[in-house]
Amino acid sequence: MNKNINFDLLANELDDLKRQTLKDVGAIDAAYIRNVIVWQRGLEWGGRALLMLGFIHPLWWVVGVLSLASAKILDNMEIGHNVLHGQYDWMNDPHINSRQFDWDIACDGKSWQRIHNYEHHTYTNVIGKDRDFGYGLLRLSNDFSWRLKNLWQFITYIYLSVLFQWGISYHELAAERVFMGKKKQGRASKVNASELKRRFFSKGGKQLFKDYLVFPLLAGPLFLWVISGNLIANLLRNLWTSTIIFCGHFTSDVHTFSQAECENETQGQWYYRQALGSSNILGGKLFHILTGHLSFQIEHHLFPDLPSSRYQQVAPQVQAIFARHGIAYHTGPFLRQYSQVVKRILRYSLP
Amino acid sequence: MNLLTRLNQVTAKTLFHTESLGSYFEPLIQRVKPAWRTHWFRAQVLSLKPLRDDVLQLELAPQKTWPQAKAGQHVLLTLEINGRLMTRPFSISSAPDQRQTLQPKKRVIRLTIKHTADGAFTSALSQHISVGGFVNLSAPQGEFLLSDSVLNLPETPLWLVAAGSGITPFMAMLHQLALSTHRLKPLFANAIQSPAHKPSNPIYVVYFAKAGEHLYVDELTVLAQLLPQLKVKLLVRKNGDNLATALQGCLASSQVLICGPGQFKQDVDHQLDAINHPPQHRQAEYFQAPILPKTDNGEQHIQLTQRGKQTQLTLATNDTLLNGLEQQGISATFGCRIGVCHQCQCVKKSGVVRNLRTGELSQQGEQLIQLCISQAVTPLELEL
Repeated sequence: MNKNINFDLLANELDDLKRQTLKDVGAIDAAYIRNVIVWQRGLEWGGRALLMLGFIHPLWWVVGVLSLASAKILDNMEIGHNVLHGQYDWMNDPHINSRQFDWDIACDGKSWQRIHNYEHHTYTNVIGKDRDFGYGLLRLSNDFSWRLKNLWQFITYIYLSVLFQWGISYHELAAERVFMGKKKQGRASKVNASELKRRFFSKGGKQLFKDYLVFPLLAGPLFLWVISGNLIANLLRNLWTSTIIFCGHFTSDVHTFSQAECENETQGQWYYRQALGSSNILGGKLFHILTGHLSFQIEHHLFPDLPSSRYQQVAPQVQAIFARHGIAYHTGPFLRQYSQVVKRILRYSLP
Repeated sequence: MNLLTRLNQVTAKTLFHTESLGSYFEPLIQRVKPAWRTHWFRAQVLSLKPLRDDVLQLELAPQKTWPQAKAGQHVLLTLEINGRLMTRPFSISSAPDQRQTLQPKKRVIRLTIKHTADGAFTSALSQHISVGGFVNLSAPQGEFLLSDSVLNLPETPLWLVAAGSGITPFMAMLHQLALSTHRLKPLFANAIQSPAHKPSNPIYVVYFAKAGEHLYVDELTVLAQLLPQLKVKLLVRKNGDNLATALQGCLASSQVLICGPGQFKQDVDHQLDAINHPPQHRQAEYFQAPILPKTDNGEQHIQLTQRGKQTQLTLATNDTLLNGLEQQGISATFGCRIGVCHQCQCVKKSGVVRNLRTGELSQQGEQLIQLCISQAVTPLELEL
């Protein structure tokens, strides 16, 4: 940890910023998330209907796929991810809250919430504690010793992106523990293995059942248009979410931390670690919405339960605070950030 | 109905990951029908009138499917206040089945809402609703009703003892009695609904409030003309009025209904005990957290199941379950914390709890309990 930073002052300033911002949270934010949900529903139904018009002209099918993919992206990112973080729990809405919500991906929302919100957000980029750093599949820093399988880890990465929803589902279950019986010291699971397995298969099964059986069957003779459209929409969503998430944590400037560094961490030091463990992506308003505001990964990691509708507003203030304390604020246009991710995956393929 | 509900749930869960089709479509439906919500009834605001600086009268037209309320019942009123859904219980102060004058097909209910200084809900109320707008209501609930003995035995005297805004459920009851008296006159033969007789019970309204703060004084005067057997006493403690004189003449056979703050309820109970009025002829509705009886400083073991996960806890038996769980860092859903709104309701799989409002002990088996007014008497198995 950098000793020249006044961590207490940093913590005070960031706490203040959060407090000030939360004070204004209200009707606008509730209307915002409901509006996004309305768009999601519209795109989903529009998409599912247009898929069936592929037999008139394939272009309809293409528009349908894009529309359905956008709906799935909104559901996954701006709605699902943020609602499951509890960002909209203050609304007291019986449906838009982290207890009730589940999303349109293979990973059971509750399992994700338990692992992601706790492990990844508490121990961001702490090697050995945050399993999200490389997902146990990729070697992304010298903190891990090189193994032969790292040689072809770029291909592993492509597979992971294509199957991202299943990767998340498997990963959040800590499936290697559940299925292979691997145990890690000091990590007690609050939910027993059979319950985790049940959730994995029940949610995954439902996803396959609806996209590859029910909706195609409902389309009758247009079965193939629908099943292929659903497949591609899911694929597009997987690629998009994986890409955005990799840009948020695995660009070249992102730091890792050892467990020893983080013992007895103060709030200020925790903020500092979140700042260096994440990176942002520059873009327009629509881009931010489609990333679920994970293009503001730094702000999201500082304030995981601040409504996503406020990240754009706090970002310049966070940047100003970082500048005053001499903390780097990692951001850049999409292509630059993504090329850094690719370079990082390739670089650490080799010893 | 059960099959349809089940089908709805399974379809919604499988295709949309929501608990019902309604919850999936809710944001869309709200675009056309503002404030449409699953689990809630919609009601349109017909009028909004300050009765005093700190009392607001709200007239609402509930949607057709809203179940009829009985006089004395309350509803939960839900408003979206600055993006947050907030819910509070309020007594209905109008007679059941009251109709709108201009559109007689529409029912009207009246709520009388007292503003409290620390109340986030009541202070935001007037800014967040407007005439023509919509609010959400629960089905009417509550057992604070005119008892059968009052409705069927003309000789039973009825005492309505109120303090402050505690007058509201009594206004509903008095209107009901006045309406049935007058409706029964020409249509006596058709009087199949209770009351089975023309109500002629002596009725005493004992109404304490601060000087000049009695509500519905004019309305009570009109009611006294419609119900000749009605005697209204508007009392002010500061002017020397007290319960002992106010309750003089209350017979052991009198049915006494008490509504007001918790302390007021206790005072009335003491006075009635002093004149040997039997507790089984009393009903009370009071608006304060239940007063915890002092028990031995014992503890009970609780086995808690929360989203499939089991936890063993030890809770002090002299506190409510809700407080106890919260002190152990377990956040249970809660609402009013005084046993009214049922948001903290959970399943007790086994064990005995004491209901702090009624003092009654529960059965041993599985039942729904409210965490905020339940105390552990034996070890419990709970499911949140």
